[in-house]
Amino acid sequence: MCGNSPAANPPGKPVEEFFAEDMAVRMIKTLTQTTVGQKVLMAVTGLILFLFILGHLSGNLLIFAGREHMNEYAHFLHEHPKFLWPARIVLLFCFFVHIVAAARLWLKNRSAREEGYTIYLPIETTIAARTMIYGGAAIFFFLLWHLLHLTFGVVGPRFDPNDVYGNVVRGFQNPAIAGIYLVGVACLCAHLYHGAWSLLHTLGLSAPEIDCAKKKAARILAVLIGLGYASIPLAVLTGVVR
Amino acid sequence: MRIRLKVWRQESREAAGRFETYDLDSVNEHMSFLEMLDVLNEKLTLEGKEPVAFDHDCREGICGMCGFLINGIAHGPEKGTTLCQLHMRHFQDGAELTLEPWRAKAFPVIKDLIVDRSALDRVIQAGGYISVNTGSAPEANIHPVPKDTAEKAMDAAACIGCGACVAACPNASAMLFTAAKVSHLGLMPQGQPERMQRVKKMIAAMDAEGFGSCTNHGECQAVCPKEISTEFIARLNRDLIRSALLLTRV
Ligand code: HEM
Ligand code: FES
Repeated sequence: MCGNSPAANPPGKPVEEFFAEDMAVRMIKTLTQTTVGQKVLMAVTGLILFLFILGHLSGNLLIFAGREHMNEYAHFLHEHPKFLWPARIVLLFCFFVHIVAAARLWLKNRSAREEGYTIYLPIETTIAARTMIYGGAAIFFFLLWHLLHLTFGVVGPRFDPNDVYGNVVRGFQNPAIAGIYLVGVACLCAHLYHGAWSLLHTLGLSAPEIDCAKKKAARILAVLIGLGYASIPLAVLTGVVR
Repeated sequence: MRIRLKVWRQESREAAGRFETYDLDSVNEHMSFLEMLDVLNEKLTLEGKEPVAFDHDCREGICGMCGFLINGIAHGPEKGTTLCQLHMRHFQDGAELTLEPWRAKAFPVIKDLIVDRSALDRVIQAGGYISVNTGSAPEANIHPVPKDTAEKAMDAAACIGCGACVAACPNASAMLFTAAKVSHLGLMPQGQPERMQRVKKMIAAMDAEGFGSCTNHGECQAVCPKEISTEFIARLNRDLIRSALLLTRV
């Protein structure tokens, strides 16, 4: 049934044994044991994280609507732990998978060229694409700090769990804290500048007719996300939001 | 024209390599890059020195034997061109050119500018074929193939296996090569029976050879002398995802 000549199988392995895996095992093996499978894991988890980034941004922009609106929204989320916690668990899981796959692939890629070139002139790639692992790591540390700041209230100025708006404004009035956010957001923006279209390619979305538009749209979206997030600390620093 | 060459010289796999500088004073601008090296090698031979070893065969851009980096670009600065088809008129008089072999763990240097690319052969052996009985040619109209599909399959089949994609990739990944080989068969009716196994086996072989993974830098497509599109990488990804999701045995 598999139309395969036995000679093409690894020596000593009968055809039936080699292909007699059930689907779940086959899927997990493909996703965790092949480079392309791990890329697919990164792309799927990256897409989920990307959607979160979009949702998170739209919530954050409520700060421009004023204290009541922002606090009402935060209140609404905390009132519904049935939605909040599953979402948090999914995000945590995605982060974990994304980072483990990134680390494994990065190590493999590094070892694939032991002796580097004396002169190497890239033509097509971008700085964003070449710094994915470093930007990703920076985002990770930024995220930890961000959670300590605005979720747990351990770092930064006075923290009031019932006044999210106030916590954000008090934080960003400190230029050092605003600076950390701007750097973190710049890293995220660069990461998405490459990641947002790369994930579509990894998931197989490509055709000559759409490739150029796909790349452009993803890059514009990444820049918009960056500007959106950056607007909040900038607005507080300049006194537009207080 | 005058050309200064800085050439990677390495006696054997184990030996340490180094750059040597050579000056050529009367290079004809109509020479191909390899003909220019032939002139250098004649000169070196007459001087009783070891000529520079480089791979070549057809010298008409179809066999995939030639290839090294010129000033950091695989196959040199001309787009869609193999080294043997690159002419000296594309360089400035007095240019200084650094020649370096493909560098990848899976492509060990054999000598000077020649690397061992048999890793690519093993990727092909893992699944880059169709199992049919040979014999008299089948009737040509038995399997009608839409023109667009045939064209696309030909685009992928244009791969000459030179290895420039691996050389130019920051990750030394062989994805463009493997994707082209998976795709030109996968697009044809004759390639369907083994399609799902082919993609898995060829990816497994590619991973085992020590190539890196694809992170969509696009350098491969930029240097490919046959201008093969990374669209085929997406196609390979689709095939792998499908093979993992199929409910039947693969
Ligand atoms: C937290 C630590 C993180 C690390 C260490 C990390 C690392 C990486 C690396 C190394 C890649 C490979 C990209 C490539 O070169 O193609 C990548 C891709 C990607 N990352 Fe991250 N990342 C992190 C966080 C994030 C976050 C927060 C998001 C989303 C908001 C994200 C979204 C993506 C996306 C969408 C891709 C594209 C996947 C693909 O190339 O197919 N990453 N990441
Ligand atoms: S020598 Fe055959 S392609 Fe260059």
